[in-house]
Amino acid sequence: MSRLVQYRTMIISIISVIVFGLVWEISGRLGWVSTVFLPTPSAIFQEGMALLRSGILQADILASTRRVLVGFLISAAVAVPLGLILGTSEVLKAIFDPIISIIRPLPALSWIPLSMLWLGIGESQKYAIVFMGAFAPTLVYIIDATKRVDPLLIKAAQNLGANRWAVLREVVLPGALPNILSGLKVVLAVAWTCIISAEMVGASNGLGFRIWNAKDWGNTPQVLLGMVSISLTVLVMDQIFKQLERKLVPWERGH
Amino acid sequence: MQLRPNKLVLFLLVIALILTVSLSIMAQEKAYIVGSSWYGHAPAWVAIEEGYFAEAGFDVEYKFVASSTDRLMAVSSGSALFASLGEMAMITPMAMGNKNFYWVGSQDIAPGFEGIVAQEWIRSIADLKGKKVAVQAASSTDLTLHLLAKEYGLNSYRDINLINISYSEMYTAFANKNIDAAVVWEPTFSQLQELPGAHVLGKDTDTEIYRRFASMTSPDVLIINRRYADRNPEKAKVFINAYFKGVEFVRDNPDEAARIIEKYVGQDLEQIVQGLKGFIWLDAQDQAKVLSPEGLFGQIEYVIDFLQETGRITRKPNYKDWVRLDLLP
Amino acid sequence: MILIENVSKSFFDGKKQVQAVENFNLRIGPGEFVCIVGASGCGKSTLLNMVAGFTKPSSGQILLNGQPVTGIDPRCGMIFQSYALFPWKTVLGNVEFGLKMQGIPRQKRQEIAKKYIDLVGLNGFADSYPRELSGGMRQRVTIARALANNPEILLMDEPFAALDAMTRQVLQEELLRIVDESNKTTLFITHSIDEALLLADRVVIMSARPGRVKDDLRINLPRPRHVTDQLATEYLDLKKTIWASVEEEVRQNILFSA
Repeated sequence: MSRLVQYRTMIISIISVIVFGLVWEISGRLGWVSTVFLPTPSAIFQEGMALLRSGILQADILASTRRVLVGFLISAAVAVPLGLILGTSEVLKAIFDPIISIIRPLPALSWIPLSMLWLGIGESQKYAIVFMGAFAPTLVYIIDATKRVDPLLIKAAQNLGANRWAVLREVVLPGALPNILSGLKVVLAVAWTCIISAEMVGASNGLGFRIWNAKDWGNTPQVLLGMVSISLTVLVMDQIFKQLERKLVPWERGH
Repeated sequence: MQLRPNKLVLFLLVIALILTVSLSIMAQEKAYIVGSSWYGHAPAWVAIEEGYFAEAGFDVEYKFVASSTDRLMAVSSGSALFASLGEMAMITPMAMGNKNFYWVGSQDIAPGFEGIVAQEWIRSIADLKGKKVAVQAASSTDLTLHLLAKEYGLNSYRDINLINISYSEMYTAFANKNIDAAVVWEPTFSQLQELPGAHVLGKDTDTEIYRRFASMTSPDVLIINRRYADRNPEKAKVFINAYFKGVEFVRDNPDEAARIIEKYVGQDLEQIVQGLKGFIWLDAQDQAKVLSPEGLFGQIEYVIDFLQETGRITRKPNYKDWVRLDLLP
Repeated sequence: MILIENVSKSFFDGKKQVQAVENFNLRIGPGEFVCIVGASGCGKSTLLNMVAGFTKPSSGQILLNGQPVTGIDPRCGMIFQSYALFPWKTVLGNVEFGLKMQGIPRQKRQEIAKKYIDLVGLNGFADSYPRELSGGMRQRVTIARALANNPEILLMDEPFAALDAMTRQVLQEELLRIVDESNKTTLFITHSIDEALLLADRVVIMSARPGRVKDDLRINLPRPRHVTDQLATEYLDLKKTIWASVEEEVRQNILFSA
């Protein structure tokens, strides 16, 4: 996309957001929409300012970000090597497939009882929830990325004397890396959806906690603020991830 | 070949639709009551089990919803018709202008059934500073903790690490020593005290509210969905009447009531009988006094001030606008 | 030297059993450049894959310098039609790959790799990525990569077929030069008779499926050969002979191919 076209689409997006915000604000103020059920953007903004001033919003963002990143990174650290191996070995994959099929459809929410039983209500329990939410999708992505590696490249490497581990290390891993990274990017956003579940019980801070707490206190603007904060944080993380991708995969054009 | 299966499916769907509609018309009016496992909800359980609601033409189902705020949301949205909940949970929605419910009274006075249960290593309320305390946010226990802590120079929202755990999960968290203390009402309040080392640091009867008003921190209040009451005022009255019959039953037949309570709450009959002794039940005739300055109006104004001071509400609602004495028998 | 003894290969293509190669016999001496010419689908690539050890013959055996082929063997350097370059490695990274697998330390292997990069005329492109190179350049990298590993045998599966005519010509002459210098045993698959006549010491004509040796012609055209040789009478005679033989197979292929 040429620079000019890029700018133009960006401007269109920004304008549409502004228009949407204005319509929302006006309909709230004029009473077209009851502000009991849908607070105006200005009400949400005020809440945001109040929480920023008291330092609570920053602490919440940091706490949730930490929980997401740790859970996500642990899950990636396990899923990437495992996925690479399962993607190249039919036998091992057949062994793991039943377990993956059982875990995969379970939402993070369903792991709350067990995680509380095994880990209590500390931080490790929260990391575990994020882990369980991110693990199966990551594994599936990695296995898929591994299978997509051009088999010809594997043949070429073997022809040049690479043994099984060298093939994994030198061909499969870099070959799958672009798809692994795009899969991880998707799962990072999924990991964020787990934070609501992770902080629903046994938390005292975090954006998910803030949403539940605001609900209990009937503070709907704060609920929406929590949701918006999550969206914005994910947006920022996504951009950072994109930069990371560019550095790690320089041989791929047009990312 | 392709047309016939489609026609058949359509036909079956229409039949199913007709059956459902007619069945629901023929059936009694289905209504939901939401509440927790607190004894204060006994009148509802009795009215269901003794058939008072059925007589009144209602098929009532009781749903457990732990948080008072959630119960108010349920009634306000219409997915539940009626609920008993903590008074505090009513106030913020009032302040926000939520007019979807009516306040029709309070069924009991039962102070002394909630408080702070602490682990062995917490010797006094002052020790709670910086510690992990489990509390259900925006409930009566939240306020009780805040008032008690205030007397020791602590602001519970700033100086204590409040953890969001619902009453059903507190036992495990306490037993596993994941928390330093818990603030909760019955029956969990007694259950926690049975754990080794657990002891009570304070109850709602130790608070300023009790000293001034002789009431619970956040008394049980009864609300009904506004739209239903507006459209069917006669039916609403009949419903509420059936409920208060339940109140009378619990007041006059505590032992039978205890047996019914046992079905809804996982506790010993003995414990229930003992517990019921602390209840003063308010029947339909009492409500005129309840909903007056001699009753809850003084107390509710105290709580409204508290909520405004702690920044939970920005303006004070005119709570009297929600009161509907005329719906009572 | 390569000895292909009575090799047959059949496989299941999802619907039925296909006999790709049948009773194929061929002996290739050290330093010989042998071209296999045949119609599409006659089993040439399958044969090459068996020599390289990518697949096993259904019956018969293949011996490399007296030792049977049991798996993928780096003694046979394979050059693929679609280059199979590692896109995440630079030209240098690709070319030195085989040496890296041998465990040769970095400095030494980069030295060796650079030599071969020069040999194929890609001096100055050592740090480029494959995506930055043209088709012809990529194929040169593939050749350099295979050669750098110093295989005893070169296997080439229609390596120039994806290139335009002019680039192909240049690379053919390059290949000739390189093969002359290094004197490697080469097995080269093509369906261009001109290419075969330009490069080969021997042309083996493979029949239509199931593939077997139909004809085996020694090409006595003088070396060094040039593209301009195509006009000599000897050349045209050979071409006629080969074409006559191949034409039959091609027609049969068109009539009976599945």
